[in-house]
Amino acid sequence: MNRPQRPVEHTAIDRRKSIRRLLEEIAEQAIPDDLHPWPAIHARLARVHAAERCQRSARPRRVSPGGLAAASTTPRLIGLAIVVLLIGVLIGAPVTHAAVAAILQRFGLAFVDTMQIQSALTTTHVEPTAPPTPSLLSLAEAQQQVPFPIRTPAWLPEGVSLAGVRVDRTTVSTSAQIAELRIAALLTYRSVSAPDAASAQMNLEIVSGPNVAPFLLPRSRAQSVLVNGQEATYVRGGWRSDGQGDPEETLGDLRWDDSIDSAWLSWHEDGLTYTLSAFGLGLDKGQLLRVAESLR
Amino acid sequence: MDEREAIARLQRGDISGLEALVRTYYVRAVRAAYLVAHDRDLAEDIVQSAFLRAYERIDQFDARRPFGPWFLRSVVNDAVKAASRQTRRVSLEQMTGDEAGTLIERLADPHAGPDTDAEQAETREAVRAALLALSPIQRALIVQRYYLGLSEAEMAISMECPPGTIKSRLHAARERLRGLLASLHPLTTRSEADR
Repeated sequence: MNRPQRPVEHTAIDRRKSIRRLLEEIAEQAIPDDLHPWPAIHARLARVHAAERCQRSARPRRVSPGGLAAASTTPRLIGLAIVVLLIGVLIGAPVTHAAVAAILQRFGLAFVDTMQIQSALTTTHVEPTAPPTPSLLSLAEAQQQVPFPIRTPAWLPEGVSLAGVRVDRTTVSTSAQIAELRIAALLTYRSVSAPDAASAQMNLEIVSGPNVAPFLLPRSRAQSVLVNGQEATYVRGGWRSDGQGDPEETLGDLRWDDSIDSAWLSWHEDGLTYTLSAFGLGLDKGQLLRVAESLR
Repeated sequence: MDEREAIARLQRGDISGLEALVRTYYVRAVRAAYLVAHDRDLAEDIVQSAFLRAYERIDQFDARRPFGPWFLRSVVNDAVKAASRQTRRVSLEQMTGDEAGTLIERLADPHAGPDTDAEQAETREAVRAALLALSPIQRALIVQRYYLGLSEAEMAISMECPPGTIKSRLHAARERLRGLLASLHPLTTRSEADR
């Protein structure tokens, strides 16, 4: 005997497929297949490595068979707890002079000489007072949230334009008694011709208050330059994780590679720290300086 | 490199394992986050942060379990939190009756595909707008069930609540979606999608 058909369930399945297909179409339309996120993730990973490196340097060294990942026995949310150096405290302690010589912060960058990093550095914690703005703001919206004027470049490389601004407010505690407010405006620029917005962009970070060592870069690659007569530091290259690169310049498992299309330029001006960084856009030093000098 | 090898490498501290996982799951994860948060930049930021968190916590991950569902669920949960901080809402009242009617017809008869690119675009836009009218949690339920294809049991694990709660919430989300669309088209009737 034939079983009666069950059109209702059949239709329900088809309906689900239809909704799924529509969702897939919406998502595919907004997010293309050809994303190349690894450079951006890798850059963020380098910062995690750097923070872990500082963190591990700050406490008695332990050998962990599990490597870097296993060494991070206390996982922390990125941005919730960044370890920075208290160089001022260290200056007075002769035994830590070597460590101070190993890591020096210069403007918005921190430089490492990994052969000299010691294990006696003091640390401090950084706690956000409010979550970063979840999406990109317009320049006008961001300006309302920061107490300093957000200067923008009057000159930009061809095809590059402002994508938006993020604002971050953070309390930096250097001791139980001392806490400083760090306010940062991060302007993100993208190229209309770049195949992947996530892997090719330029960022201008304007910070009031203490810096928290956003990037660790090799001191040997730091170049002194001038931005409108202000002393500035320029670095080009990047860390890579595949074992290639300069074996003399390492940071954890990473090696420095001068050929990577990333560059940083940082300087102080009017009590603010400016850090201009670019990756994947093919900008040379002259172009980055031109952007910096056109800030209005 | 297969997924197990990638995770094994990552657990040894070799980040080439992470790169392999990024290649495999990044686009799908960003799309899932986008469907909940409706902001591409935010979606990419959510997924990149999720990969970094996975990197930090990979030593706690049971390598015998598949990485994808675990990771995608965490991405959707992050997207819900991020979207909840946003106040954007798009009113379905912006849609015309014809647009909504077209959508309903498409949903009611999945075998009758849109005739033109313009109609397809209208349909997509209508569904996108309808999703935006839902709460972030309701969007996440719809995305997990219909885009990621999770079962209600898997969703219960992801959202840390009893399966019965998921069932009722999913029903409410579908009801809300149907209600929003029905209010725009008089021919809409209660359908099997409520199941």
